[in-house]
Amino acid sequence: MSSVSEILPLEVIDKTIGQEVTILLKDYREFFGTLVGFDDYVNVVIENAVEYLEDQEIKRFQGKMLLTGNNIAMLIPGGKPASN
Amino acid sequence: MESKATASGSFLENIIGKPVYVKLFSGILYQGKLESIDGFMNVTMSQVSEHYEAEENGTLHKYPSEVFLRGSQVLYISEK
Amino acid sequence: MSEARQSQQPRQEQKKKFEGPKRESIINLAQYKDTEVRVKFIGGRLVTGILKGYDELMNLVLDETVEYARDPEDETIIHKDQAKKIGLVVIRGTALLSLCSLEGAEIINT
Repeated sequence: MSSVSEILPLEVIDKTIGQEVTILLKDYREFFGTLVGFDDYVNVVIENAVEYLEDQEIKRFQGKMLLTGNNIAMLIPGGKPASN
Repeated sequence: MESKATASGSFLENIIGKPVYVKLFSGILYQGKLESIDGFMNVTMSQVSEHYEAEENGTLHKYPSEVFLRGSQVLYISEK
Repeated sequence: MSEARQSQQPRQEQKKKFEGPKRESIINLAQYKDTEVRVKFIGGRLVTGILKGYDELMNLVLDETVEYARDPEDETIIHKDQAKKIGLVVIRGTALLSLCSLEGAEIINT
């Protein structure tokens, strides 16, 4: 009878919907924006994204962006824009 | 028959025909009008200009005809 | 609580179908819950943190996460002074290269 409260990763992502999030890709790239949603493959839709490459901002977006899940390494709820 | 529209599915439905940015994993950025997209994220676009990372870096190429981008290489698709 | 210890079984068992449900992970992450682990990613990122949650696809939830910057020239060098605290994170199992426990681990200065 295990009533262990397991923290499921996908639940954490789900709770972040509507909040800001930083998404770290497998390489030196990061995206900061508001999480709109995600799917089973953890493709992610974010709004008003800021794209960082090697900790430098390279582009700001308006509207929604679909980030493909196969390059995503980490998601940080609440977001932490790369700043030195 | 999907009973639940996924966030990515709705996004893709709403964006067909609109001006978009598509970046590939290599860092090459394509700007143009999204003609079509499939379940593998393969993309066709028209009126495409090609840049490295950002438009400010200059235009590498302009394609007069339709362009096909392979889904496995797509990093993101964003509204303009 | 089934354990797959195939390497210890006698060779005559090879005719038998591989045992164990396909969905079951070969590692039981429950043993690491609330302990500090080190996670390496495909692509070279390195973090440590306290394992708070996981699923069968090896997506993880880590708390008090610290990311270590890599030396751009030699990926084996880690700058300990450039560690960045990033708090609670979700780690994608598809990007995970290796995971190990840091319980009782010591850093040897070479």
